[in-house]
Amino acid sequence: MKFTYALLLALVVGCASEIQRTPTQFKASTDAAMFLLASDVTVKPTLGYPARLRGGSTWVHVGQVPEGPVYAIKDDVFMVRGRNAHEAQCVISDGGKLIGFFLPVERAFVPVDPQVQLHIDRK
Amino acid sequence: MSASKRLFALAVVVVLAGCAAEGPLHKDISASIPAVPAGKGRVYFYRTNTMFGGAITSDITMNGRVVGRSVRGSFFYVDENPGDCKASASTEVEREVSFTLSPGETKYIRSTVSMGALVGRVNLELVSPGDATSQMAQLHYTGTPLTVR
Repeated sequence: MKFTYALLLALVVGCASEIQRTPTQFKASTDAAMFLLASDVTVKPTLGYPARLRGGSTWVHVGQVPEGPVYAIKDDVFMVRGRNAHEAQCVISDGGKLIGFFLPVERAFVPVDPQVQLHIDRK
Repeated sequence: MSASKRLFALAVVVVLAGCAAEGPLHKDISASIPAVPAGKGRVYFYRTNTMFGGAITSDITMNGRVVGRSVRGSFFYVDENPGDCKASASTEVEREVSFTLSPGETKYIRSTVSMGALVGRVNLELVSPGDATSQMAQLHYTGTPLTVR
């Protein structure tokens, strides 16, 4: 009986969902505007695991999707995880609110719920 | 504890721990690792020397071809054409990481083992250069032989 419970637990733990995403159109930018994230932020993509944006990290404007401006982390890596892991960039409104993530390989948008106001220092 | 229980416990430890990789340490050969070829990017794959799931291994594929193996305490690298990349490992399920690679860029992917239904699962994740280089110092190189400089 105990073995059955352990097996069921293992199955549940192992069956993570893939993050929910929708195809989007990316247009690259060359203005290289940057900002510094003032403090740690943890956000949750739809159906995925929570993702942590490190305080002190620098983000560079790399382009635009219909959902908003896209920023990539500088000299570091950032990814979101569901069943699989994906390199990701942040979609942040002009007011500094994190709207979601852009997956450059999949060319897809992943919304975050709820959206999060970031404390940023523009450079 | 009876002899049979002791033997079982020993077998469990052996299965969980597995065998560590063999090969020169990163810190001893780092100077011999050639620069990234012009027009290419480089991807390091590594797995730290942790006991949990040590016996679980998996081929690692990159963009559809096998490039190496996830083995406890080992690392290797692959020079790849820039662009969109997907690396994967599979045991009872396949786990994938997707990322972009630019010319001259180096990226680091760590494999870890998590609990599965029947066997452990090998997961892949991107790691920052600073964290990766410090973790790889004590790992064994399992890639193609290097020319000592």
